Amino acid sequence: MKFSYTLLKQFLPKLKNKESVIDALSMYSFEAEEAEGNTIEISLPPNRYSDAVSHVGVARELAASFKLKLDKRGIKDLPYGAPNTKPKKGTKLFTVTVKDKKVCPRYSAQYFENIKIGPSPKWMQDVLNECGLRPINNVVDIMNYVMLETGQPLHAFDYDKLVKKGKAKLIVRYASPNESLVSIDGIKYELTQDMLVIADGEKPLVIAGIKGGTGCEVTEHTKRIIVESANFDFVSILKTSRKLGLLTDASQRFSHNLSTALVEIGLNRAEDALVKIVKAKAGERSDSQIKLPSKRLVKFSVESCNKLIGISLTEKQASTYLQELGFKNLKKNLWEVPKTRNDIETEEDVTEEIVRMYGYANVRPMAPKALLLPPETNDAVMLRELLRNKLVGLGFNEVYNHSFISNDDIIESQLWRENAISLANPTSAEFEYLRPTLMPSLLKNVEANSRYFEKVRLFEIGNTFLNVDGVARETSKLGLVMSEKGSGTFFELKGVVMSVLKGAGLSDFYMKEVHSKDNPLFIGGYLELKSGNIKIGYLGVSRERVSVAEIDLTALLPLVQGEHEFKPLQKYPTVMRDISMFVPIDVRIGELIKTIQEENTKLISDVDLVDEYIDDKWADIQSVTLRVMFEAKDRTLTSEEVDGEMKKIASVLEKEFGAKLR
Amino acid sequence: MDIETIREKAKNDIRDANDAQACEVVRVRYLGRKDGELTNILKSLKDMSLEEKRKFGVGANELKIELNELIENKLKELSTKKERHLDVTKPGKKVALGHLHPLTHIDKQIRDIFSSINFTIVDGPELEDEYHNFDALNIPADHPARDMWDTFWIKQKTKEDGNKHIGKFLMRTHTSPMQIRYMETHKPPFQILVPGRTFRYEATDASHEINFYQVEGLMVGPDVTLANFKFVIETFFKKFFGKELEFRYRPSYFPFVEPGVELDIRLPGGKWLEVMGAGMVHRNVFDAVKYERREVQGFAFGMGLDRLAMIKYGIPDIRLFYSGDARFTEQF
Repeated sequence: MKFSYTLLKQFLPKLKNKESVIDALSMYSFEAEEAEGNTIEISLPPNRYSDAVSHVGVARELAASFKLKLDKRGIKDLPYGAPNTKPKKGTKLFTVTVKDKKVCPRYSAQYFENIKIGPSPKWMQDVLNECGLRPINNVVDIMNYVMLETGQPLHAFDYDKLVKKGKAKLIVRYASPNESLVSIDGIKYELTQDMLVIADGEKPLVIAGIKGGTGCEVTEHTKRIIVESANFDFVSILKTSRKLGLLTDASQRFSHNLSTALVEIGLNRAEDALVKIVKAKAGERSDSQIKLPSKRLVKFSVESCNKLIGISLTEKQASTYLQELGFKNLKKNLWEVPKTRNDIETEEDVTEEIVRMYGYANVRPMAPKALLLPPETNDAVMLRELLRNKLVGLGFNEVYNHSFISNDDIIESQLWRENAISLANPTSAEFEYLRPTLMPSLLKNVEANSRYFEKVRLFEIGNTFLNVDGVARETSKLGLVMSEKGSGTFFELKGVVMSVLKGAGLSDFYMKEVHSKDNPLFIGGYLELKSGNIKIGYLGVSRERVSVAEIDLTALLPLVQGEHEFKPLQKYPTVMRDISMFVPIDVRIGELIKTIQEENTKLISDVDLVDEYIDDKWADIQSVTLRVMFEAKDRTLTSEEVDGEMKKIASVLEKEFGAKLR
Repeated sequence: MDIETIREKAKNDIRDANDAQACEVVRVRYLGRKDGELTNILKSLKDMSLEEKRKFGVGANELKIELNELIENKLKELSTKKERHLDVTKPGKKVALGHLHPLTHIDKQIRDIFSSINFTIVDGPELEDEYHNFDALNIPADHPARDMWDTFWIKQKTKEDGNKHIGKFLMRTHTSPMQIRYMETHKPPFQILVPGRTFRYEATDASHEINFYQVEGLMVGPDVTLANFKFVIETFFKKFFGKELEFRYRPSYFPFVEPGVELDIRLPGGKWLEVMGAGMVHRNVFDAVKYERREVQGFAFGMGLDRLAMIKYGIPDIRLFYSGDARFTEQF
């Protein structure tokens, strides 16, 4: 929000320059930044609007940090806070009706006559311009100027237009069905019944606290006016402003919970200005809250401040800071909060006031008292780290993709179509769904990277989302993709997955072939990775001939064993035998290997594929050579023993697969 | 021609070959794919009866292996004869080593430093509920403070197992909900670090992304102070950047802390950089997790991982992190 250095200087003539103001605000109060000319850009925290969305409020902050005294006269010929007209409950000239005190806790209005519309003084126009407001005429400019000074938004009605219809009436009520309002700048707003308006007997004149409409606005012919100074419930203003998509200087202020005390301060100031600058004659004033609001008190002890921050201020030091900020000490440890400081409710709030004025730089760093214990380890984090390190060693590059994917991505990976979770407010169609799988993005990465690399090996570890029986399931997954120009990569990826799973400490797992025509991600079948009955992932070749694998780390985590156990090294030699055979073409090599292993689980330590050959001229057979490794823990195997085993293997293969040994 | 004849002939030829080229000629003569003598026999197998196949097949295959071995041995023999000095100046074979994403590096560096001073690393869900992301953190619905977080809301009505007052679902806008989740199930004293992916509904540009990473810290005990926070965080940053740097604390506002501060750092010769929001845990947050607020106090902080990575590595555009471009990853 734009603030005027010129206007701040009216309150604090001793300010040195704009830079020092920006510095002091940033270090002691809130974020301030350099802007053009005499403008300062200030980002007020949402809880400081009530006291600081005004130049007097910002000046109060500066006065405290610079140890200066606030010049209550403000502008020289316009004393700030002079005595003003006493308000009454009812007035002769107009009536005010507030239907719901909860949404309009305070409504004050005052009659002025002898108005002569003209331009406002140049000094006023300068300040308005510095704050990004366009000067219009003396009355409207005073409304805005006083808002800048005090923080209280004001509105002026043309009294003569209000009285045309009998006694002037201002009614604070909710909009009726089908009511609308055309703003001064000619835009029509359809109102709904939860929107607060200020109406005359017939129709809405103003969207309360947000925007004025046509009908009773001040024009160059205006002679008499009513000035409104009111307070509205911030939630109501916030909702209406959001619903209409209408953000104004007034709505921004009202939606941040202003103090009702500002109502009077603002109207007093407006009266001053109208009388002194426009030479208007002030008339009756009404106020829905004549009784002064009770004092707001807060308990505060310097001991608790010191304990929270880790400093050792004296009571006197703390009191000085508080007094400089306008707090009043009532008795020991009891303070009255400045009227507009809505943000101060607790002892910690007061502590913050003191420590920021003391200066955070002056708080000395101190080592905490904590036990010398090792931190708890996080297995999920460790598993991810371990997998990453292994994959990098195997030549895979890590990528991060967005957590969101498009509708097209979802359609292509039909597996998840029904259960994908979507965003209510996506930024674009590209990012509409929460990714149920890492694959769509990884496949796109392969395509993009293939322009630069012959071989692409990528992995990503990230969270995926899926609706499972109406419950949103979030799962950590590892996705792997591999592709190489002119050659297949599937078996290398299969080897990578096996090594990585073993390396992660998963000893008991298997891969099961799944024939699936309806899964459009893969060509033909794919492998399902399982441990016991638990699915931990899949492995396949995509339509783009990219080898892909995805592992569910959430499922994997409880299955891995971190501890390694020593097994005696093999003392006796391993005996290797190759077995070559012709088998029907539809026999799966994985099945052959499994069958051989099961033939003698004690002696056979491993079975591997040495050679396979398919000749186009052969009808339905393939030639396969497997290598069988034999080991015994307690002796050297004799060649007769191994020959015997091989015979058994041969006969089993012949029986089960129709294998013809070569 | 029978197998034995071929064997004899081939053995002689191999013996007589006296350079690598001659070896190749022999190989082609017997094992050449098109018209090798042995190859032809192997090819003819398919027309034979099963019995013949068995008879010839085994022998032919064995001979194929045998001849290959002999040729290979001969080649070895020949090459040792004219042994050249190993030319160590030839280029090395390209062995591919993969690379970790820069955010992974930064995440690890941060975790390692905090782990070494007894912070426990904690993980949390990215799909959060309104209660943990906002309400419990003293950010009630319809409060203007909520505007500080532009939120992605979830469309479907989803329920979570066994939780009550959770409100609507959303993509967490910060890692702070883990403060609540952790305190709901743990008793102080403790100190935790929560790295994780977070989300903001906003237009992307060089310094904004719809998803990015944050690291949350929380330390709670009977007498944890703001002075302790300064010590911990300054220790961290000095270690992280490996050099002396300047710190600047400014007042700030986050609804879940009071007082709230913003931390800027300045590297030697550099500009002030905003790196972190922090403060003392708000009493309403302790109330939400049913801690006795007179007995505990603590600090919380949150920083952007992407931003730290950008500062440390000089990366100009946050979108590079999520580009999936291996040329980018390979630099780290």
